Amino acid sequence: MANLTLPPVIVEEILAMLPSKSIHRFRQVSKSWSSFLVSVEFQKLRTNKSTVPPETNLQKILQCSTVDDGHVIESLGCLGDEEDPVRLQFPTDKYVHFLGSCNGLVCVAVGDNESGVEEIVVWNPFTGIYRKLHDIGDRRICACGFGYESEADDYKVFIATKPASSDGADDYKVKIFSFLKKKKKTKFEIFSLRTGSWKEVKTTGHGGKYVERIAEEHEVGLFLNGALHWEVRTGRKIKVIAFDLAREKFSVVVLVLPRDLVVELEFKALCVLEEYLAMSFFPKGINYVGVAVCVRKEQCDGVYSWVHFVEYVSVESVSRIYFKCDFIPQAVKEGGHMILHFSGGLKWDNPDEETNETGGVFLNIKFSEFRKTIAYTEALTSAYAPLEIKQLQV
Amino acid sequence: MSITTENNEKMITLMSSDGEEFVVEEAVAAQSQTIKHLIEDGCSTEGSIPLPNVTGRVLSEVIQYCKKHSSSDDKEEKELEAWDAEFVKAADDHVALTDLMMAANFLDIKGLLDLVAQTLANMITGKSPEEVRRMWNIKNDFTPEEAEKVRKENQWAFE
Repeated sequence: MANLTLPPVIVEEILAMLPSKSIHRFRQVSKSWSSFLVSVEFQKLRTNKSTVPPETNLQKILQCSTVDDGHVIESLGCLGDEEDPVRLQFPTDKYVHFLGSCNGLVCVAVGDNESGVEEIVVWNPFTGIYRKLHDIGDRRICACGFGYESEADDYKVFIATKPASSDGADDYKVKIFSFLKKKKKTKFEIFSLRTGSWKEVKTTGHGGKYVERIAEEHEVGLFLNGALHWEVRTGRKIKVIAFDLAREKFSVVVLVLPRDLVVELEFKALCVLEEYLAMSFFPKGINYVGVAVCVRKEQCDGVYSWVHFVEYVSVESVSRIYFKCDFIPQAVKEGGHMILHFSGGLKWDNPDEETNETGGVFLNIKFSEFRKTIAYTEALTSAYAPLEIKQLQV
Repeated sequence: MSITTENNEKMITLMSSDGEEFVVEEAVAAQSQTIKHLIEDGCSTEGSIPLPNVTGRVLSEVIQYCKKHSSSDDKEEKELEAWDAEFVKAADDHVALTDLMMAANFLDIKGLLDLVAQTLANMITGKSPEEVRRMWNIKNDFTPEEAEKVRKENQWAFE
């Protein structure tokens, strides 16, 4: 085998079939392997492989877990079965929560939210490259989002913040005081990765009167078609507020729901499934079944129209234990598997399967707290302002 | 040289780099996009098709694969998968598989290329960078500093 040399095309075909962990390791084989494995070409080749085994599926879940000496971020495989969480290198062992995820980049807030976020980082869990954003001061994040604006080729972080509650938060007076402060001082800001700076967002204009409500719902804005989306409930009505990342303006999304749907089902949550904005509903009766309703991509003037019901996702097999949970679809995987986020953790379910008993795989996640998990796609995208990118220091 | 069999199936002759000749049905040979194009260009009518990059040993394996896959179009997919698994197992080691893969690449047989690529990928998945280098005689061209940097960046992949 002395003269066995591999033509590049052969190497590429083989490497495209490897699971992520091996890809990281094999960056050390040689310079040409290293540069090929982080190239955009390789990413495309890998994505296009129709025959890839499940472990190379590029969609993953991140979770922040508590260990003896701090917190760690772990990545979970696509189906969660027989694959242990992989601990990722992250520059801190402090508590983190996730503000959003888009094109392989994940926006992470470091530090306990109640006492003020210490740092916001945009991080690629796959390459390990991260970028720290400028300090936001001692503030608490009450709504957030992260998305991509294709025209300017820019990523933007959206946050709504309030002053952090002080250490004496248990004190009744302080509570009242901070409550009053909160009432007044919600600040909406966006950070552009291209310009590298924060900018305050005006809340006037169409949708302005609902914007304050976003900050009360504590939600991660859902990214779709260049805009972030939140649900806002006003009494029995549901409004969807969108924030256009290019124009940096809020608007109210017009929803026209089928009448029978509203009568028979109870709205649970807004979600993004593949390329659609969707809503999950539950029947008002005793059969706990999640329903995702799709809407078409945005049409002109911010009007969305409902397309169809995607599926009745059976959650009967788990409903006996978690019957009161909110099942929020997070993503659809190949083969019809759907990732559901619910207050007890994450679950995969296959709406195509007829038998409920084999409907899903439980993940060993004990408790999914506020923004503690997020779905992301493995990609080699970079938060790219060259001056601020730092390689991980181990 | 084209021969026609009793079933009226057109036969063509392939010649390996070491001069071995293989007479196969055109439908079998046409699994290879490279050969298919040669046939379309009329190359098969003037004697055998020379394949200078493929040895007789490898070519016989490739033909075995093409025969199976051209005859079992509508057959059970599972049976074919099982056959594929046995087929790559028989190829024995990474050297034989690499030869097979290079032939599949030259002959442009996508199914075979993916099959062997997956087999080789499975073979190296758990291996260390050093083991992979040894398998294919890849030169480690990192300086010690560079090697250390890449190693640190990818440390979790060793845990």
